[in-house]
Amino acid sequence: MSSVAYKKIQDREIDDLTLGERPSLSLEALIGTWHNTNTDSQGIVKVILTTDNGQLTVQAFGAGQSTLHDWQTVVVDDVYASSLSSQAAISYTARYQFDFKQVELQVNQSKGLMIIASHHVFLDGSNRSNYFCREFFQKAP
Amino acid sequence: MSTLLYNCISDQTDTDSAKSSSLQFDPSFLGVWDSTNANTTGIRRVELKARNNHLFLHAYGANDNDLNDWGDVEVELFADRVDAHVATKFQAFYDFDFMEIRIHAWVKLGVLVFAIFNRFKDDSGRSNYFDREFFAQQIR
Repeated sequence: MSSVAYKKIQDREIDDLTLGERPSLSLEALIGTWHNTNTDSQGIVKVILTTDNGQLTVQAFGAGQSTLHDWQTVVVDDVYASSLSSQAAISYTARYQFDFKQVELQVNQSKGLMIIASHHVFLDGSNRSNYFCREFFQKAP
Repeated sequence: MSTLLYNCISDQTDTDSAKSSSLQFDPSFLGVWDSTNANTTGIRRVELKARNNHLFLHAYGANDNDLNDWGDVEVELFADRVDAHVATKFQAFYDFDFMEIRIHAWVKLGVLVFAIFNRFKDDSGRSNYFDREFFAQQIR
């Protein structure tokens, strides 16, 4: 049994032999263009995930009246596997900082879908409520 | 139509309806919630409580013979829409010496759902991992 620090039993359910320097997670399952399964989405319509010097990046596009809003590309903050010992990324978090709001993406994959929870926090004093949106995306062939 | 800045349609609202006071949390959050999985090795119990109109999360991780008490953190509230005034979602963040745990949560059909992002800061070689946990409210 491992003697690592933990806050729940799940955090120590790892073979001692696998402890050591953390390997980079494979990003393969995340890479690609993902389209919202709801074609009438008023939130994020599409995301493009790619790598830049080994780092995962995301480019999100917001729904517009006639064209999409390109949020540009940001490097993701962190990637996550499905367990302590897995080396395949199935999840990530990323942050967009705009003049008028901040958006944090907390994302996971499930059953072939990418589920994006976007947390919108307004900074402009407009009194709009901060809001949370959870949307589903499928990978373009 | 609003002249407010936006970068997706869901940011837009009538300016009149954006005259929001502070976001109020859904009172149905309040109480003690136990994992629906009696054998969970993750988060076993949470308590959501109000203090001075703020919502606090108290989480307990599974441990060998008892619970691992994580203490209270104030949560950040979110509505479903820019013109809604009741928060139906929240996020919370625990920062421990060796790991960080980021949670976003909502209630669906009476079940409290947690999406959990576990990030290690130590050199244990453990992979960061994502998990979900479901909770049912203790009967009052």
